[in-house]
This record gives sequence, C-alpha cells and structure tokens, in this order.
Amino acid sequence: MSGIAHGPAVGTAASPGLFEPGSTIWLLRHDLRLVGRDLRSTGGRKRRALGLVLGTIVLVLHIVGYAAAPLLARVHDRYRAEALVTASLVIGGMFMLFLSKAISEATDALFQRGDLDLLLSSPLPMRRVLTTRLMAIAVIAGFLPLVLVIPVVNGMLLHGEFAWAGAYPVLVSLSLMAAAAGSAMTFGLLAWVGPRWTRMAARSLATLFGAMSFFATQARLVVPDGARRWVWQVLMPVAGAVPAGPQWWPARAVLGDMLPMLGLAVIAVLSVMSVSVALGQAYGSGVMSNLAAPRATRVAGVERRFADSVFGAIVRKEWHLLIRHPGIAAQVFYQFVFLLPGAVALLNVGAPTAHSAAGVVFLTAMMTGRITKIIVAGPFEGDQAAALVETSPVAPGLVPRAKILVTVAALAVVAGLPLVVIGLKLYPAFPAACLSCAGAAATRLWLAMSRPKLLRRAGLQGRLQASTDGFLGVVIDIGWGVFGALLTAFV
Amino acid sequence: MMVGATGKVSMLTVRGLSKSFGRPAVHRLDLRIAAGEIYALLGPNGAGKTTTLRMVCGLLVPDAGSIEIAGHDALAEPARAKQVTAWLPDEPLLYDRLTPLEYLEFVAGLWQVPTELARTRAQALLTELGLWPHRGELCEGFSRGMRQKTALAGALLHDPSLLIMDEPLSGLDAAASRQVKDLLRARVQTGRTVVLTTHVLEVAERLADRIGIINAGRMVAEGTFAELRHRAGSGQETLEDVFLHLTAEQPA
Repeated sequence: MSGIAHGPAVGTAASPGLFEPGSTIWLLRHDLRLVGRDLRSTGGRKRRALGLVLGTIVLVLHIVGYAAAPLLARVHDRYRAEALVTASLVIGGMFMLFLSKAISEATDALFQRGDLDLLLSSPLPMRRVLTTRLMAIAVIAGFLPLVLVIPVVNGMLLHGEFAWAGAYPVLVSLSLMAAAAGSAMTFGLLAWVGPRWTRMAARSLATLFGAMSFFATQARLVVPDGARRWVWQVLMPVAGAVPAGPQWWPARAVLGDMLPMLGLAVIAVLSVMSVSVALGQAYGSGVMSNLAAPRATRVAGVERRFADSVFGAIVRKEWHLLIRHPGIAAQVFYQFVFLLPGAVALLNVGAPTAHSAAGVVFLTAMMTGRITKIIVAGPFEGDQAAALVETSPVAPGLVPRAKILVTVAALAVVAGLPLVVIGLKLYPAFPAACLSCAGAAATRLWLAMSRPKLLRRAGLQGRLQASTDGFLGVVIDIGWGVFGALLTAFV
Repeated sequence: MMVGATGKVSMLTVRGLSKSFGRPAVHRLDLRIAAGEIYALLGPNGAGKTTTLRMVCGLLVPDAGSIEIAGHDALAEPARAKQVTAWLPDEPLLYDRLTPLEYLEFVAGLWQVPTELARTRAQALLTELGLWPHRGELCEGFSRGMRQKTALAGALLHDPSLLIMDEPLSGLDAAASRQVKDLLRARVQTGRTVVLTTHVLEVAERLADRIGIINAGRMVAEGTFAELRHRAGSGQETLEDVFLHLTAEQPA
C-alpha cells in the first residue's frame, strides 16, 4: 500500500488512561457526540422552536415547583414516618419509570445499534463497551424524570430547604441502578426466549413498569380503599420502628441523610460494575450468537402453504406479516395497560352511573382508535413489497379488501374484549360503545388507506404530512370518544 | 507462530470449527492460511462462509474448535487476536452523523493507534481511496461505494496483519473495485494476509492465491485455482465450472 505507514502500529492491550482513546469515558463521549449530532441534524428553525418549547416547559415546571415547595417544606421534620413512607412510594414509582425507559433503551442497544460489529471486533474488552452502554442508558433513562423532579427540588432549595439537594445524587444513583437492572432483564430475556420474542417481551415489560409508575400516581382511584389502608398500616410501623433499614435509604437520602446517600451511590456503582462483569462476555458472544441465529417459524407442509385463490393468498400473507410484526403486540398491550385502568377507576367510583358509563365508553372508543392505528401499521404502512403487488396482475381492489379483512379480524380479536365486558357490566351503554368504537376504527382505517404513500415518503413534506395525520388521528379518536360518551349520557 | 507444510508462516489456523443454529452452520472446519496470501472462501448461499469469518473475528463463539491468529489463541486471548485483525462486513455500518475523518479517529481510538501515526495513515488512506476531498462531509450523504471505501479505510487504519472481508467488492463500481483490488494486492506484498468471501467467482479466480470452497458448513475443496481445476477434472475451465462441479458433488 503505497504511502501508508506500516510497522508496529497498534497500541497494547493495557488499560488506557481515564480520558484516553479506548477508555470508558472516551467511548461515552463518542456516544454523546452521536446524540448531539442527531439533535443538531434537526433543521435550524425546528431546533429553535423545540428549544423554546422545552425552555418554556422547564420554566413553567420551576414556577410550579417553587409554588408547591412550601407544601413539602419541613414535612419530614414534623411527620417523619409519614414522610418516609410517602417519599418511598413516590421514589418507587419513579424507579419504575427509570426501569421502563432503561429496558426500552437496552432493547434498542441490542437491536438497533448497528455498530456492534465494529465495537466487538475491536480489541476493547466487552466489559468496557457494556459499561459505556449502561451509562448511556442511565443518562437517557434518567432524563425525563429529572426534568419533572428537578424543578420541585430546585423550588425547595430556593426556599432554603438545602437538605433536598440530596435528590440529585439519589436520582443519578437510581438511574444507574435502573440501567443495570433493565439491561440485565433484557439480556436475560434474550437468553431465555431468543431474539424474535425478546423485542416484544422487553417492550411489554417496559410498558408494564411504565404503567406501574403511572398507577402509583393514580393509586387513590385505582387501588380500593381497603387495600390502600392495609398498605399504609403495614408500612407506617415499619418506617417508625426501623428507619435505618436499606429500604428507606432512597427516601432518607432525598430528605438529606448523608449515609444512605453514600450507600445508594455505592450500590449503584456496584450494580453497574457487576452487570458489566457478569454480562460483558455474554454481550460479546451470546448476544451476537443469538442475534445471528436464523429466525425459525413453525414449519408446515407445502400442501398448507398455497391458497386456492388470489384473495386467500393475499389474506394469508397479510395475516402472517401482521402477527409476526415485532412491535405491534407490545404497542397494543401498551394501550390496554394505560387506558383500561382508567375505565376500571371510573367503575370503582361509587355505583355505575350514566356519567361513569360515558367515561368508560369514551376511553374504550379512544383505545379502539389507537389500536386500529397500531394494527393498520402492519398491512397498510409497513408493506415492504408494495411494488410487488402493484406490478402483479391482481385486480386493483382485491389487495385493499384483503388488508381490510385482516385488520378488522385482528381488531375484532383485540378490541372486541372491552366491548364484551361493557356488554356484560354496562349493557345500556353497549350500543353507544359499539357505534363509537366502530366509528373510530373505520375512520382510522380510512385515514390509513387514503395516505399510505404519503406516510412512507421521506423528507420534510412526508414528515409534515405524518405529523398532520398523527394530530388528525388524535382528533378523530377524541371525537368518536366524545360522541360515544354523549350518546351514553343523554340517550 | 505455526509454520505450515509449505514452509510459510501461518497467519490463521482454524481446527475443527463448528457452529450450530439449531442446524449445523459450520461443521468441523479446518483452515490454514499463510501470511502474505489472499485467500478466497467460496460457497453457495448459506454455506457457512460468513458464520466462519464472524467466528474468526470474535463476533460469534464457536460451539467447538480452535482459532489461532498470528500465533494468538483467539478464543483464549481475544483482545490480542483482535489487535492484529480487521473485519469488514458486507454491509458495513458507518455513523451517519460522523465525517470519514471522525470515523477514522474513532476507529484509531478503538485500536489505540498512536495519534501521529493515525493522522498520517488516515490521510494516506483517504487520499488513496479518493475520499480526502470528502473528509469533512457527513457519511449520511455517501453512496454505497463511498461508504464501503470509508469502512475499508477504517479496517486498514491499524494496519492489520489479517484482513477479513465479507463481499468487499459488492456495490463498488469498476474503478473503485479495481482500486480496492490493487490495494489488497499491495497489502499482501508487504506480508499481510487477506481473507475474503465473494460470489463473483471471477474476482476470486484473478485475485486469490488460494481458494477454499465450502458447502453446508464443510470444506469441499481447497487449493490454488490450478489445483481445484485439476481436482474437478477435464472440461472444467473456469472457476465457475469448477465451483458448480464441486458443490454439486456434495449434498447441501
């Protein structure tokens, strides 16, 4: 190779310095540079608008935090046990949110990061690569909760409650612990159920933890009074009697105790290190082996593989693609997890009335619209071989009919369940629920059918169109929900 | 480092390599590739070529067998083996939001190439591959050929003794393809070793010193083109004839 220097070029396998190329911090800086470039790639005007919106949100949250701070001030001095229990429950809910995000990010790190080949073929120890990934996951997992919590903490600090500064290191520790636990769970799933199901299982797990976090904020409505009283009665004496127990460390650290704060930091660092050590090799070998393994589906004989009619062939293909779509099941689960508890809560508030039934119908219609949007993504928006069908001699109307049939069949299976429950528990609301759900599904279907090509188009116009359609879809869901609710309440 | 029957130093020695993904992908494969040669690994789709190379590069853990690279046991001392190896996959990833120069800077860090040497080599490689004028552009706008060449520059940056390439010429136009072939020839003249897979048999015929043909994870035949032609018998003039003849002999 002319002009290119040869020789004993490469470094040794010895550990580099803290900030030197090849170090954990150097790798983390590389990851953060990529994130920064991604952000900067957004158009100038759009970036400024985004910055303005974020800045406004942060400012508003700080004003709210400052106003709310006196309510929390000195609560821990006056009501030590109550403060510990309340803070522990809030922190537990937040940790679920951290964990949910960490699992999502760990899944992305496995399936969407395309640089594993480069990193794993380099002489860097896998442990170091994984540690960097864990730290990046911790940063991303901790971002949203930090945005929400820091204004309140800052409000407390502005009111002179300096002990609350402990919330900063606690949040960092929790995000590191969540990154370690979330990654361990995701890798465990990969080893247990294989790559094909890991994505769906991990997303569902993330949804579940996210939902648990959400329920924590809605505990008064979702959890029956008796159960809440029981939890309180169990926790209060424990908090009063054993305040030194490690289960109270996060709450005590947030309330300003130094030792628990240090204890949490040590646990966080140890959890990241132990996951890195334990899973480092698996990351480099087992993970890659699993990802490289060919996906096997149930093998059926050739006699079951060819349909008699063109329509049958298209329906079969659409159905296979729909049920094998990696994200649809988890997204549908997400809708159930977040919307159904609302309906349950409405039913729990006293005896069922026309108004609570209206609320249930509203949520069910909303959920049906959203689930339709998710399901149509398979047959309508995600068709990777649309040109194949378009260039085939199939009659033009046949393909959309097959897609509609598959979508409606899947929808009947998934969204039919809440309607059955309404029919059994709130039968006067059943006709309105059916009508509004059918309306939401049909309108969403129409929207997807009328815009499939626009949604696939790249570039600014395509993105703008996708945003407009997204907004329109939300309006449609709300519109049909309101229609169903009004019908239930007044007719 | 092991010395082969031909008296040449062995750069890559693989013994009894096996890997199964439910069904066997590679089965008791033996390979010995000398320093300073271009070795082409050929085989039909799904024969186990890429799986073999990925095991050699440390991206897959074999179920059985051993791999020795430049005298280092690649399974026991992966970092030492990787230090002298480079892997160029068929669809290499480049970071879209990095420029070629920044990409090479990152790769140099991964292999801990001394700064001054990395700078010199990066400039030389980018110049040689015609990418120097594009060194400040983000890779997201690059054509497939430019991406391939940038990845190749990354693979060569730490001057690997063993360069392993999966379909290195796919997506390259005639001029770029010639450029890469010249570059590979120049490398082996300085004692470096190149192992590549290709479906373009003409490339293997003209470029490779030795050729290995695998089918269903097993080595079917190995040798120079002349040796393979001799083995396949009369009437097999081109490598394509030889390849089809030899792979047809073995049930896939």
